Amino acid sequence: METGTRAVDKLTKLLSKSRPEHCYQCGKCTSGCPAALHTEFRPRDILIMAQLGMTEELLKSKLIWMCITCFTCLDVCPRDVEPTEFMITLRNLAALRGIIPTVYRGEGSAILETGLAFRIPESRVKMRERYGLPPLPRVDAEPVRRLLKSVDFDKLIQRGEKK
Amino acid sequence: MSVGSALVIGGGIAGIQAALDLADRGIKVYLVEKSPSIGGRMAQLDKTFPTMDCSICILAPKMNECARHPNIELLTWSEVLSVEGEAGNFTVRILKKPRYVREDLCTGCGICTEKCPKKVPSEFEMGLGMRKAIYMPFPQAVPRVSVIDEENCLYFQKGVCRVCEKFCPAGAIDFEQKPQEIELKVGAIIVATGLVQADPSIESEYGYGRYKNVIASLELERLLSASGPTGGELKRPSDGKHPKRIGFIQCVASRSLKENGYPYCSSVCCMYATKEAMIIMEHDPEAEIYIFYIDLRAFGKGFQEFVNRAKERGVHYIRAKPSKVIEDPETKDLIIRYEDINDKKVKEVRLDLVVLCAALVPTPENKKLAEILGIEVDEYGFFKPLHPLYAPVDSTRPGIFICGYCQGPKDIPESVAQASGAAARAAEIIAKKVVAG
Repeated sequence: METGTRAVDKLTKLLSKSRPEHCYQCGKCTSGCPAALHTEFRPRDILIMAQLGMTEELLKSKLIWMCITCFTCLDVCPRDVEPTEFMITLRNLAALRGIIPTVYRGEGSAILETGLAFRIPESRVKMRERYGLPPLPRVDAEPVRRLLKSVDFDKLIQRGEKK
Repeated sequence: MSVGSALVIGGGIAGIQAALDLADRGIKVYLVEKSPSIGGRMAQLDKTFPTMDCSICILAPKMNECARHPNIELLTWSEVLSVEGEAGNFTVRILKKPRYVREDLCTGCGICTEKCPKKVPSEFEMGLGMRKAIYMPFPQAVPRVSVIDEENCLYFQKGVCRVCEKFCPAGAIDFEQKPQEIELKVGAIIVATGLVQADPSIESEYGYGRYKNVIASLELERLLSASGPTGGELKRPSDGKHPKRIGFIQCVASRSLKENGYPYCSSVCCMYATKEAMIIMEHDPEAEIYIFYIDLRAFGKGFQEFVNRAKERGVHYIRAKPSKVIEDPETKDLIIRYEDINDKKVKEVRLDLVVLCAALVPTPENKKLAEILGIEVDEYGFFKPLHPLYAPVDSTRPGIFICGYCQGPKDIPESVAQASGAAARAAEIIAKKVVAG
């Protein structure tokens, strides 16, 4: 994984591939968005901020991390904008700057340690036993770890972390 | 050789205006129409914006004038087969489909229609009402001559019946009629083939075709029309109840960059939705109407004032494109979900009837017709003008002119103006030939 200025350049170019400038602010993405029902996240807002050149503000905003990447917005958008892709690219750019919400740092390190994004609590394992459910499949974390380390993922998720 | 006559293809308001203009100049006009009657889309409309005139009341006198004009020959139920020659001297072959009713004998009394046992959905009523297998498409049809729909006629399909023949007091029924080819010599050709409404189910999230109470705007026109299937009383399809809360969704499949959408603005939907809202409120002042729009395009003379009037009457204009329509399975009511851009809240509104203002597109046969005529169409099937600014009604072939919606999205007054323009350009060619003759 490239993590230097070239990566920033590439990702910045990728932003325009999602065509935010096509958006005519009809709000169809937002009313279809499951995240918008429960949070302040508004795909339409993100797109107008992009049109106004407010990328800096977006990178620092918590909002871009609220997208659940379900792609409904892309499905309904009459303007062929790809808000989900746009959000993913923004997150990657933010991560390169070391702007990563704590919960995502936790997920990252969980993948490195266990191969799973979700750390399965001991109580859950016991509960399964109690109900007579078969044990969860074992995950070999080693290949995952090796792969992620080869692209410096371990360093990326520590970027900008307040010690 | 001089040819002092013209061919007009398409008998809607543009074709009618062009034909009348040329005929009044003393030029012989052949008006070809593929359906059994002239009138076109305008005949289907209840009223017109922004003046709220009754559409057929303006159109019918013009249709009759066409039928009675000594210089106009109507060729309805006919299609253009081929065009040869050049500006000033075209040879055109026309296919006149058999009506199975003799035009010279039929008085239009309608007894045949009354007696005919076979009912099928009416094209004129957008499938919301029924017609018979022998029929006149609508009460003001011109010419007032019935036509037999071969595909549904019991005699043609099963060899029985012939009831119409038995009852026709004029003896006009003729099952032996054959397709007829006619050759015409004309100096100029005017094309005015009009429009169709795109299938609203292109935006499937609105449920057209799945939910009975989601209808297309052209269907609403028929439901509002006094001559329509409900006699002008607005009834919703699921249970025939009178809807109180009605929503319009604008730009369905138009202004869309999706693969199956149309990127252009259809030009008339903001205004006809406003008009339809006003008609509904005239029928029922307590009706609650919501128009969901992206940008309100009230650009013509008197248009903004018209929208203002609708707002004063209480029509709710909501700037949002809803993401979906959900049907209540019990009541068949519809729930529309949208983002209110004023307060950024995702909201829902429960409605009795939802009207989709789907894209208006040029007649699908245009591409084939363009090949026959040797003129160009753009990617959507609109005929290309020679120059969009200074030759808007000239096609890409000399001597052939274009006007109305088939040239590009436009409303009725603009279609009429363009038709007069096309008629003037066609007359130039014919006059030049006559003088030089």
